[in-house]
Amino acid sequence: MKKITLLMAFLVSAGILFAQKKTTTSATVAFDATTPKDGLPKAENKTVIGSINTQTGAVAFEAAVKNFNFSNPKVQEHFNGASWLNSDQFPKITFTGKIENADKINFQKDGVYKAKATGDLIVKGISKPAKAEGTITIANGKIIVLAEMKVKLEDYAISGQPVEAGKVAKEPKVAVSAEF
Amino acid sequence: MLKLAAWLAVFFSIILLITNPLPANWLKKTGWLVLGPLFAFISFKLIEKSVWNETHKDTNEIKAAYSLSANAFIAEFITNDSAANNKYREKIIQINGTVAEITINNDSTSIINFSNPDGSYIAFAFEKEEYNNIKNVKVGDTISVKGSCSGSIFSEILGTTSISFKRATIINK
Repeated sequence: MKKITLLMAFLVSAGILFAQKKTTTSATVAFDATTPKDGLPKAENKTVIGSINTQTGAVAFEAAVKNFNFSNPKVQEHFNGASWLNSDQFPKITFTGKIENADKINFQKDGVYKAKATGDLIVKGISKPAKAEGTITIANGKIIVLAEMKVKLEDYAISGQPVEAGKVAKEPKVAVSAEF
Repeated sequence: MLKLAAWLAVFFSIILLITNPLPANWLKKTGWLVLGPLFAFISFKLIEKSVWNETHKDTNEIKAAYSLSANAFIAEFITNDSAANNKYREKIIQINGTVAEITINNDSTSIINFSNPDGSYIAFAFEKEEYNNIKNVKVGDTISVKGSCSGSIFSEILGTTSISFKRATIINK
């Protein structure tokens, strides 16, 4: 009887802990490097994997580089090329971090909460500190994350004639939206 | 690069005119010296405009390079992801499977997943133009989907293989 009780207690605890980590396979990351000279370098990836831990505030995202869909095939090719994101060698971009004000967010109560997250953004195998700001909306048992960050291309050894010519923004905007 | 070539063409044309006595029909010949580079420049600009205005071909109009079941497709990536990525990446592939998950976004884009028992899955991203074909699809439906394969990543978050597609379209339901 004792063993059964202990086992039940363990399973319930494990279930509670697991429930605090929520995941999605359909988060969206929008990448916008457009400039007044060129409106083409922008794309979205709608199959991004995301996770949020409502207990610890830990957040993480993984995006397959090749699933960013550009309207122009040539821009798509350049984006994935060896001198840009080099997606054959580095197939994914990841962000791992923590919501800094998670203790101010009541994940059980409907509302819109401002949120700031800091962590590490890994692009082309290069890890740099990154921060994102946005909102977390709790509504009808769902957690909706909207956040933005700016990324410096030179931090990830991404450069070239289009950047120098002002056709690709040196600090593209990255917007994340996810529903858990 | 184009500017340098243009300036070089002008420079050497002037040198040619200066160093040679005016031939018969000099006006005609000078005209060709100017028209040659001008035609080249116009052609370059037209080709450049064509390339940068190009969009992806409609997936519906492209024949699939391969057609196979979702389970067989996922199995290839789990067995040897390098080989599978080299074989399928950036190709139009038709996958037949059972809908495990469907998400329709506020902008009418959508995602459909096929998955296998260990949690590895294929995610298809549909543009908003596909909304009318997607809106009646339900979990459990057996469908065929065609799209541009972006290859696989191993998800540290999920502990599984994720294979993604873009510009997907439903073949039949």
